[in-house]
Amino acid sequence: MKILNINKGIRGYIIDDDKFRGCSIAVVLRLPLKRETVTRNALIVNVLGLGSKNYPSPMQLNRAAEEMFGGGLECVNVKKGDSQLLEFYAEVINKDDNIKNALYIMREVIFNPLIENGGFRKDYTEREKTALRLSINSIKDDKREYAKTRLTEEMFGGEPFGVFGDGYAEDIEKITPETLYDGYRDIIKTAEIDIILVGNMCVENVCRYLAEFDKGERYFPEESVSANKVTETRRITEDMDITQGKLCMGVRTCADYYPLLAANEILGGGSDSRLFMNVREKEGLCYYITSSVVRCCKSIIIQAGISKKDLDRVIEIICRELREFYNVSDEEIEGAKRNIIKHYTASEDVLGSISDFCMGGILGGEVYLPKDGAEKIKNTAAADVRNVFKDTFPDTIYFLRERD
Amino acid sequence: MKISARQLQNGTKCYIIYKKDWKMKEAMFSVNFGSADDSVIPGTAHFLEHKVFEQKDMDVFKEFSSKNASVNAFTNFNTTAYYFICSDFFEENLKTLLKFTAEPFFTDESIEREKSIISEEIKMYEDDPWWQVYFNLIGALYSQNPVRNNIAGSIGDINRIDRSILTECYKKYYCGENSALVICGDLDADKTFDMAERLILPEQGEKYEKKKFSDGIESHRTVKKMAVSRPIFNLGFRESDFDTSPAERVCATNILLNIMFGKSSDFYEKMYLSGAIDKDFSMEYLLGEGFGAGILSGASDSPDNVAQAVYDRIAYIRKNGISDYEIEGSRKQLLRSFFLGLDIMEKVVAGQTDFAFKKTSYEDIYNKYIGITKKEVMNRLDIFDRDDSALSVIEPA
Repeated sequence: MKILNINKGIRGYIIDDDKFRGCSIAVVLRLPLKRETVTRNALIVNVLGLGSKNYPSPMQLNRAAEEMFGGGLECVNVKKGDSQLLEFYAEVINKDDNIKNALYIMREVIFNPLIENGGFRKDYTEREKTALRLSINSIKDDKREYAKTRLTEEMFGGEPFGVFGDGYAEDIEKITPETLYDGYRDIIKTAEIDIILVGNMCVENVCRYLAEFDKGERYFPEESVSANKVTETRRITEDMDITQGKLCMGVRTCADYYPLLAANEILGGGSDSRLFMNVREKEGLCYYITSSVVRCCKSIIIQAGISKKDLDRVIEIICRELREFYNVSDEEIEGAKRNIIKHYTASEDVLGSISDFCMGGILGGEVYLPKDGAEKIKNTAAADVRNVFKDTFPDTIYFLRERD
Repeated sequence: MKISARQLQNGTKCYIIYKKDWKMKEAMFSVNFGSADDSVIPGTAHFLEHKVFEQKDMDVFKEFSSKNASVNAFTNFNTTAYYFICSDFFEENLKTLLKFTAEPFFTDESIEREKSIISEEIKMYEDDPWWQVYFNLIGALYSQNPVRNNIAGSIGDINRIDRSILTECYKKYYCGENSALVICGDLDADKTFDMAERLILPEQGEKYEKKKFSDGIESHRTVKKMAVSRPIFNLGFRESDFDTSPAERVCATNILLNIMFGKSSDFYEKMYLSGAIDKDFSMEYLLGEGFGAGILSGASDSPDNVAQAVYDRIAYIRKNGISDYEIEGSRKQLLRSFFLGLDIMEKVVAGQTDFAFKKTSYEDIYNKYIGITKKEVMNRLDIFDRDDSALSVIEPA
């Protein structure tokens, strides 16, 4: 792996692996997740994706992309931890021309936008305002995701992670093509820009192409935020016209990332986890039950699809498993470590996963390759894993309740 | 990457996909029996998938987990597949895979318990509008073919399933002639074939004849109300001529779809900028055994207007044809997806399994993309007949 410092806050990460046929290219504008700017930023990446100065419409841009590198350019807004990522991503076949052309089109889209009268194009701005409004309104369509979003909002309100990554409908209206362009000029200067390439490529050539990302003057403000404190479990219930209730529980810990990852794996990682065994296999109370780690908040989120008649029983089992977690056996810990290492090893075979892991490392300020993550988890002490849920309890329990 | 094929002694079709330097290894054992082949009660193939994991003296999940492997399974229209992924202990894991799929142990008690788990699974899908809109479409496109049933069946269906039905279906479909084993990784092909021969394999059995169905459209429009923020739709065109080779069906239809409705089309730009469709507008070609369909999907305030625009677009292409330039762009786009798909082990293995039963191959598909003619692409317009189409809509409740 090679790390290039291209300009202040602009870095290239080149992970050369010739077992792949393809190469993934991600240019990521990284911004702090904030209530005031999240909506505007989400809109910016979508408007940029409609066309640039030289390719001023979706058809022209997509035709050029198709012709030059086989197309498939994605311009998306992603919430990752407590950051907002404006991501420009493509996977191409490993021909030098494809990589060069994809980077060229991405530079074009990011740095050479279509501007009219001191703002973005009015019709494009309006189109994307409508699209964003609809997309925000549609969060209720995926009930499982909606329950998680609501839990996140309730549990982490006031912290960056509690900010809704797609933005807020009520902030859309006042945005104009001009204010949007002001926002664009701001983020082009302030965003950290990470360019991650994974796959089969000529590193020397790629370094040359990346040098062309050396753009203008840049500065970085610094801020910090503290976490919410909890004293007792909060329970929130909402009714909806659905067939199956969606339970979502959040638990805060004080644990470091790797012990937390191992403990989460044992608790609700896969089909041999304690929750899966006890809630599904032993008592047949659900089809899915999983837990996942929120790295930036040292927390886990447990999700299950259940009937409301079983709600109390399911919560009881989950709380019991948290309480009795300290007694996990050495075999369970070793098994969990093996599972995680397996997961890391598996991600070494997938372009997008390596790229994603690298981004996670950039945010966590640590390791950039899956194999280094595997090393960390291998060296995690069993005692640290056992202590992860010591003195913890569910911070927030959210239940999206089904009709009778 | 190199694919070697051999039929094992018991009749199982075996494929080894060699991937140099890859860390992981995967094996998928599958039978050519899915929800569209359910002859008894809808949901039987899927129910069997759950119960095959039940063993007399082994916890399958723990067994794989102790050998650094993860195991999973799925049921689709024509296939039930069981697979594991691991980085080491490959032979032991392969042994476990073949053993547990060859020796399931059904008890009345565990079958009853499974009903409550599958009921929750069915309910989970009932709350998924994209799943609902898709299966409502399939139900509208086919009046007879069991592909129209939900993969897991309904709660009423599964309550009728018992041990004798599972045992009967298992015996009929889980046999050598009706199965495939696909293995992928940095492995020596000959040694791996020999390894597979030594392990427990299903008995030879008989290849059964799939029933043929003479289908008509069940209905041209189906609407369901759900808790969604705006209407979502699937517009499908039912294919009825299956004489063309699978490779040509796949390649020519995908190219035609991309030219007519893809991101680089005039249609997409107009429809997107006018607000008629969103970025999630997408299209797919569904290749099945004895069925096939071109499907467009998306969200829109007025699915009927989108459908009309689609019909108009088809009529326009029928009249004006397509250009070499458009074919070239689409070919480049689709070859990119084709090759990138080969970089994802799970995709290659699932793809090869699918091809094994549908009698085509990666090589056929690649060659067809390279050699495709304008005439072949235009021939696929035959599918896109309004009389053979159906629109499925989920409306906000």
